[in-house]
Amino acid sequence: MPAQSQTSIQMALRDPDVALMLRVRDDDPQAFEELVRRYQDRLLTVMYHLVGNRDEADDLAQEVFLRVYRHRKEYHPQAKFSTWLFTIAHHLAQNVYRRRQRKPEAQLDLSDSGLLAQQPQELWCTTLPGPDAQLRHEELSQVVQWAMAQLNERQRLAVVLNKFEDMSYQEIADIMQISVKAVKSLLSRARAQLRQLLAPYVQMEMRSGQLPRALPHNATDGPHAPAGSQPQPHTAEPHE
Amino acid sequence: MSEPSSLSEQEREELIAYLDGELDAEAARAVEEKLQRHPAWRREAEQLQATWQMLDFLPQAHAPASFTERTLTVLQASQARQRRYQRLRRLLTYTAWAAAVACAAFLGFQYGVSSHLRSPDAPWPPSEEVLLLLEHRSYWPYYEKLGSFTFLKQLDQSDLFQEGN
Repeated sequence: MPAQSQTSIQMALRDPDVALMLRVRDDDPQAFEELVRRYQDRLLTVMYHLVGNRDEADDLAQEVFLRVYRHRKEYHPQAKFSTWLFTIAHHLAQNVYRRRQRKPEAQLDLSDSGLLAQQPQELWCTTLPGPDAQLRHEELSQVVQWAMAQLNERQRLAVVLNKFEDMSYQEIADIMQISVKAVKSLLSRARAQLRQLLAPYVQMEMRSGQLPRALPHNATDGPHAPAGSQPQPHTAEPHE
Repeated sequence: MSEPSSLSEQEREELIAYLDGELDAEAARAVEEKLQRHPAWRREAEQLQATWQMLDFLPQAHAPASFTERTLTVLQASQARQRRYQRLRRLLTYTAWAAAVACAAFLGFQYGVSSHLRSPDAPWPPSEEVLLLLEHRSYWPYYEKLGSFTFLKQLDQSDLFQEGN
């Protein structure tokens, strides 16, 4: 049996999405539909945080799936399927950044309009004291979005993949086509910047007991396994 | 407001990699020791972790119900367009081949005639017979079969095929 086929079988056994993609490669139309359903929310979330615009994220996510289908015959599983999918997404997002650099007027700056036009400190002071927890949640969501928008594109991608896709440094390095060391440095700078930007809100949240102060017992706990209560992620309304 | 980080850039990288579970056992032990000994490391770790948890407030998108259907529709339209393009390309390829073959045949014919005219044996200016052949290409098969101009000359002079007969 050829080595490539053996790798495909091993990867398919390890990652069910690889098996699904191999069915897509073999022209199974239902497999493609299942693949879209399985990944649409995750992909849309990542694209939204990368480009900062819901409609554009929607179009880009669709284009990612179309490219997956068009290039299905070239698919040879060597890593998790999501690595391949998000590599395509990364390339498309880069095209958007390049287009925005050429046409700066078309760029959507999250801080250009509405509540986000204010500095987060003003936003917090003017609206957060309200008693409504839902309102507080939404305001915090906007502050965090504002902070994310201050990161550069590469930092934002690394953070989004690490946070939402729970990807390892190696997987992020594969997607961004950089070294693991570069990912380590990128994430470190991004998180230091976020720490600076969000410091006042983090303090308030910690004082109000919304964020845990405990550290993980060991490295395997990681930051994704908090020892205390955790704020519920805000879920955006579906848009039609 | 929290105080600025007292860790160097490299120390912070190590700490964040530790929090992400990306360090090997030895490097992780080294970070754990620093966390136990240095309050600044602990403060930094707490701040970084709390900041990371703040990202849970970021919205998570849900694709609209029509997303899958819309994607499949766009895909089908794109495939239909692709098929039309392939058909057109095939047609153009065949046409180009046919034109090339016709062109080659014509050029071959011309070459044959000119070779014949330019052969050392061919008199110049061409004889009356050769001019007759050039003028009436339809006579060539007869000439090839008969090998004589006599019949062709008679044919040319006769009004056998002229209108009104």
